[in-house]
Amino acid sequence: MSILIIGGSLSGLRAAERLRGEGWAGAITVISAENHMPYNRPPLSKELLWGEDSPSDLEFELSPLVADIQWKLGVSATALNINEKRVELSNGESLTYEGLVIATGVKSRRLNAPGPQDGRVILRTLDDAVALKDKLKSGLKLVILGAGFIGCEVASTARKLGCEVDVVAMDEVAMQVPLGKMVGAEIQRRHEAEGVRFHMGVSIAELQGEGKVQQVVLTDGRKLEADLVLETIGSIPNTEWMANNNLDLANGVLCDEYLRAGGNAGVVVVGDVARFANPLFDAPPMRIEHWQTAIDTANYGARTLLSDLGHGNDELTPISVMPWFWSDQGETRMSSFGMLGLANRQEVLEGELTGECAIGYFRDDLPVGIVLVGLKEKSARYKRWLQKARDEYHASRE
Amino acid sequence: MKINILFGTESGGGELTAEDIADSLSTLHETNIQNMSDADVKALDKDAFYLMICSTYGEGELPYSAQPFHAALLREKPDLSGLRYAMFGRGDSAYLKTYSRGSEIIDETLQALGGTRVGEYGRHDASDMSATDELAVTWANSVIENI
Repeated sequence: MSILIIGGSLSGLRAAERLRGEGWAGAITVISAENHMPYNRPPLSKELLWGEDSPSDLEFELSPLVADIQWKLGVSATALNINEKRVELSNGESLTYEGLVIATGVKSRRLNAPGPQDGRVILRTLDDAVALKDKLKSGLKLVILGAGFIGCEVASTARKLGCEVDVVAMDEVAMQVPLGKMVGAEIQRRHEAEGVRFHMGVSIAELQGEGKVQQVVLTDGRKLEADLVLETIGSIPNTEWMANNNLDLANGVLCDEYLRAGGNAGVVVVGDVARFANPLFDAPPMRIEHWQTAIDTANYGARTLLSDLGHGNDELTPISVMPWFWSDQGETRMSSFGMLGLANRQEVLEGELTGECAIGYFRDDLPVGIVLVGLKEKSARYKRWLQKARDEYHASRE
Repeated sequence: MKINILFGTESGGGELTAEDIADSLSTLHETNIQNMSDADVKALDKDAFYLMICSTYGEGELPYSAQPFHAALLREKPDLSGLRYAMFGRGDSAYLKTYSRGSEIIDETLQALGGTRVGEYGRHDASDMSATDELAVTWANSVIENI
């Protein structure tokens, strides 16, 4: 009896540990496209870039539970046949399984604009980060396309390293997609105070330079000098290899309430690539690209898989998660609970927006999320406030 | 019984745990809650029983609110003989080598100064899917019933 885990990052690792932890003694093989054992990604835009952490600091400690599992690094899945329970690999191997964990995550969306390729970079993997670190020297003219988590975190890190930083994004303010306009505008103000220049409502139309990027032309015709262009314009789920299995792959893999891919017994989806409904927030199926959700889905998915394989002891409960993230941007530490994107109203609940504060995110009168800027010691209390509000709402409807 | 609940926390979870425990014990006992960051190590009350709650931060380090308390214990070296306490650690077993280490640092320091730990060593593991906030309350009641 064997379980195949496709994807060797945080979610794949935690799934393997949970499988062993719940007593699965059969073979486990992890297929990872990267040539590294599992490592922690959040420091790639921060501690690793500014030199506080080395690549080896980022490696996850491996539990003795998973000491005997097999790792195939630098190999990716190229095709899946759910009926035959078979996965084809990039090295030509064809593997069969009894249980499958899909943990292939996402890749960076790339900018489609003419001009030289040399000087365009992304930040997704450890190799990307090591290469970027080598380039981020004092005086470098860095243009960042996109003003989300990665773009803003790198902007802050690059300023710290003495780079000149221009951020170009289609949104009205920084961090608008994850945090909304009110908080995003304040975050942008803080970055501007540190010398980051924002060019909002535009994108990059063209890159120019002799053999390598030297300047970018914005969609409104303005030009910016650039030694390096970092593209942080979102992600694309790694799902191509799962085609032709009657799965809904519109944006990640659509899962049932137990994280089975398209309801197929013995095939579960975990991490960034999973699209699932979240009843705690009455949320329709969505992907949640957060560190903690990678762990939570790994735990749920592993239990479902064991149950499907006849090894589960507990009755399954539908997945329900409290999404949570943090982001360090210069002196500003943000943390959040809930699903902010569901909100139609925001309100400062404590403190001042320009200092440390707590911002409630509401859908009509019901809380759907909280953002804390600073106020770290309050985060457990606000998490409980949100959980309680959701639980009471659900109880009132029963 | 007089029960003093001292908590060391990074993100406030330890404070909620302290409040939950106090809510549960206060009908039968006199309870006081204090953040370790506000505690005077020379004024620890040997007539009271202490419930210590401490999380772990970073790579097995003390949470920020426990750091001044720990530093003061090392600096002032109060004689804690006669001080009785029970310890509850909050941590995440995914961090194999440093799991619940913060609470152990406080525990070792209190014992080195003469304090006596009694009862079961409580643990809340964030990686345990079945662990709830109730765990600490159950632990505290069990400790208090058995001393």
